[in-house]
Amino acid sequence: MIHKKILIVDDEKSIVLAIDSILSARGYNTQKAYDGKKGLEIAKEFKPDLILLDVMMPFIDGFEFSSLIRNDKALEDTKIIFITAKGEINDKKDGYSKGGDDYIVKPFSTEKLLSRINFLLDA
Amino acid sequence: MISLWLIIPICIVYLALLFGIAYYGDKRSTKKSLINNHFVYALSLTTYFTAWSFYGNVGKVATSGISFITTYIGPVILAPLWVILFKKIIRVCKREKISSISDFIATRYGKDKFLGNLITIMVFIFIIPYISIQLKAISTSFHILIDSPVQNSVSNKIPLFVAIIMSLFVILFGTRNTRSEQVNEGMVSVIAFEAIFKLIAFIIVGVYVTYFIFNGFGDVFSKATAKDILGPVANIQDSLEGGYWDWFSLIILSFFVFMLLPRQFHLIALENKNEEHVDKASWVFLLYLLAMTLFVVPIAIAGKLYFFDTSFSADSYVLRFPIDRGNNLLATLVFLGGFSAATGMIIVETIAISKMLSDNIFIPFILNHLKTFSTSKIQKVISFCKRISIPIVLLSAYTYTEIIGEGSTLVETGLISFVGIAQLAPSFFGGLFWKKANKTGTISGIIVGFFIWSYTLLFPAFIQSGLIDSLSILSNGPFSISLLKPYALLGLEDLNPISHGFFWSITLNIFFYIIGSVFTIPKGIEIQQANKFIDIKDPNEYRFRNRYQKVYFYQLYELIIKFIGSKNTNMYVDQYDKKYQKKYRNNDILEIHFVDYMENILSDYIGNISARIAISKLLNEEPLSRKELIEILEETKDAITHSKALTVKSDELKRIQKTLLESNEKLKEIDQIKDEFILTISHELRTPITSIRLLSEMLYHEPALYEDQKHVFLKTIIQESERLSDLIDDTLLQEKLELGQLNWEFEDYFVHEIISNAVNAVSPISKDTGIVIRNHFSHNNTLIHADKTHLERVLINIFINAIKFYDPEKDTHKIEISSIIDSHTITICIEDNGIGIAKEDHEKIFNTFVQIQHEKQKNKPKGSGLGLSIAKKIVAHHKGILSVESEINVYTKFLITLPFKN
Repeated sequence: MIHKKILIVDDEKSIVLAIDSILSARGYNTQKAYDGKKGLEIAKEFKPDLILLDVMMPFIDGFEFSSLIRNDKALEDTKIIFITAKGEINDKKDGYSKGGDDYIVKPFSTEKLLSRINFLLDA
Repeated sequence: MISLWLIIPICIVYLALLFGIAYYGDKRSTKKSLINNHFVYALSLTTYFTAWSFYGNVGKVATSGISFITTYIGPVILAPLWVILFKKIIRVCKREKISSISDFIATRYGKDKFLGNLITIMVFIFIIPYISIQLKAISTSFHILIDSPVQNSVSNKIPLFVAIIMSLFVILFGTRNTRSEQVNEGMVSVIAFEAIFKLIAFIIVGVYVTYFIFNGFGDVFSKATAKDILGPVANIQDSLEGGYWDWFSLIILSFFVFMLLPRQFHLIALENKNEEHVDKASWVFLLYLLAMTLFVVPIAIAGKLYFFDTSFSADSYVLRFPIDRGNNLLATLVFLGGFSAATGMIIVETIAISKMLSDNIFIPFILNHLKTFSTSKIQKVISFCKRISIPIVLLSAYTYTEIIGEGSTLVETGLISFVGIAQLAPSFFGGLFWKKANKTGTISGIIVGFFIWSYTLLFPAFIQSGLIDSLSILSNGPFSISLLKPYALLGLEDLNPISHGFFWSITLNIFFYIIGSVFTIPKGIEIQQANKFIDIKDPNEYRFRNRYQKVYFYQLYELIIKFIGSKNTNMYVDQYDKKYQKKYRNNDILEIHFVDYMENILSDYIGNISARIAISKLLNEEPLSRKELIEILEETKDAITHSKALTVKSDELKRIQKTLLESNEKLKEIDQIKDEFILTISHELRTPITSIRLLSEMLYHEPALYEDQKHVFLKTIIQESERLSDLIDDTLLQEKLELGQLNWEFEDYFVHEIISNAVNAVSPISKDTGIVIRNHFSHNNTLIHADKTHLERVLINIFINAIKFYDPEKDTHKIEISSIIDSHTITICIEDNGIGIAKEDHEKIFNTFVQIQHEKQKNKPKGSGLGLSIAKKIVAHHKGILSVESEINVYTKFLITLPFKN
């Protein structure tokens, strides 16, 4: 099987550590970024199949990040899952309108994270 | 000559006919009324033509020319005004439940009992002679008819019989209805019948004299011219002593009395079934008047020609012609015509006067002595009063006839009564149109008028009839003061006695009426009644308003609810909608009809005047007079007090409402802050929980992890757990600080001790990260009053931040502590060479949940975002200031300035 490439972008170091550990153990090819600027640089080179994207980040927030990704033809097929601490519907809608494919609200379980990722990548 | 024993049964039959008509009329009143038309209304008003007119007019023409016509010119002039005057009077009477002319005036001037009594007694005095001459006319004509000397024992009692039978008739048909506003239909039917009967009788005798005895009008007048008797008759100037002035005053007199005679007032206002009848009735009346006067002059002239060599009284010409020609049938008809004219007048006049007597004098007397009667008897007593007053009136008239009767002619007695009745004119007409007219003016005017009338007319009449033997007063004046001669007061000699008496009595009456009204202040009830009488209107008719402004529904609505409450107001608005199919809403412009409707309703609650004033204000009508203002103050004192209290209450409520709104806004604000706080807190809690969960799950599910990986995971879990507990601690602390619930333990400490404690607390961490803390604090013996624990926490927090935000690109990392002192304060300076804080963020860092992001500061564990906000509050609690100086990538310096103790 081809190892799917996943980029994790979050300013929360512990979150990145946890998700990265989980996905690496499942055989995904992962890359990490602690802010949006760095995340964009990596995304262009790495061309991930999926980006796990925190909404609340310094410099470039999640929404801005995703719209920049959507403008990049090379990254047309890249799926985006927002990771958000807020569960309000408005935010969910916001997430979709800014080019997210799905969202996941903190705190979440390992199982939930994996099933969302599988769903998007298998489709 | 007709036999006494023939004429008495004829009279009895005729009277029986009257009783029958009356009975039938009363019976019909419940089905199809006989009298409910303008024709009957007009005919009833012809009781103005009494036996005096029937016999006396001819006599007047024969002796004084055509001046008799003055008595009819007045009503002719009045005829066009019927519609205005009569309708107004009819409405007033219906609304105010008026029962007689005296009641009308007394009610108009404040429902005054004294005034009612005064007018009743005066009218009684004026009218009794007048009724008596009707009785006399019947008796005289009866004697002429039977051609007997007056000595006959039966015929002598004729006036008494008539008085008794008329009493019976009036008791039966004139007082049937106890409620004053109901019409005596049987009686009115009889009056109408008699009106037709007397007219027919007079026209027949007129035609008989003119065309059968003579050969038409031309024949009569040419013969009269030949005998030179037409001249005095036709000459206006010579027909009365006072010439034109007499004519003028007699016309005015008849103008007044046509409405004021008690029987006329009674028929015009109280026996009117429908005010629409007034519209056409004046024409019927005028035609009747024309027919009734057409043959007066021809008969008089013919009588002068025909009876020139006899000593017959000219008053009897009408009856003498058929008798002299032996036409007994016609003679009987004429007699019955005169009888009709007399009885018609007697009936109505008696009803009117007896009503006044019972309502104004007898019944009030009984009501004042109620204790004397048991309650069950009162009704009987009252109805007895009403009945007994009828024979009292008629027997008084009979007695008068017996005593004075022979003194003066029909016309003269009638005119004296007229002048008396005319004394009511100022207060009656003034009362209908002049609002300022009041009781004082009325009483003084009427009393003065009555006095002058008595002196100039009644007194001389007594003298002339021989009752008082002092003819010298007439010719020389009392005590020979010629200025006080009853027929020539103040030297006014040229007028005939009637005009003279009328002139002085009415002039002084009016003078005192005006003076009294202008210079005295009326009581509230007088003003109220004045308004009721003057502003009276058809409920279906629009009220006349002098100025009318646009009024919106809500304006009127707001006004009305002030007085009667919204529930009642809404009810009436709905009723109006139902009745007139017009529903008004907020901004609708009102029609005046609705305004009047609401004013009437308001009147029921606060009285006519107040309602009127309230509405007038709304309509911006004429400004109010001082009197009106006094009145509204009296009338609506309660309403105003009430409304004022309500206003005060509503102001209070408004204030409370405002306060509530304000505190509500504050609560909302606080609530919003709280919501945001909770949202932020939950957000801040979610991240460490997520990490802890994911990492724990890894450790749990993946036993094959490397040891060093496990170590990192566990270390992160511990850090995140600490972060969580810090967050909770800081949140609680922050909460306590905000609510003022934090426990403070203030004591005196040396500043340097607190600093070294804090440095010792963080030194393990600083050593781990390779950060050197250099303490240059030099003011070692400075005491401050402080809570040691909290102040140390502030310092530790600042040190931790300095350690967290070290600049990895620099070779050495340090924290330097120094101090500045002035007269009152000591400043602790904590300076690091870390990443610095951008200038725009200097203020922000002290806000709740703010964490400034720095490019070089990525992998550091996050704090609660509450540390500096809490630190600032703690320093503030020590009456100190926490501030920051910094340059990005160069340094950060926190300054804690605190007051020290000497």
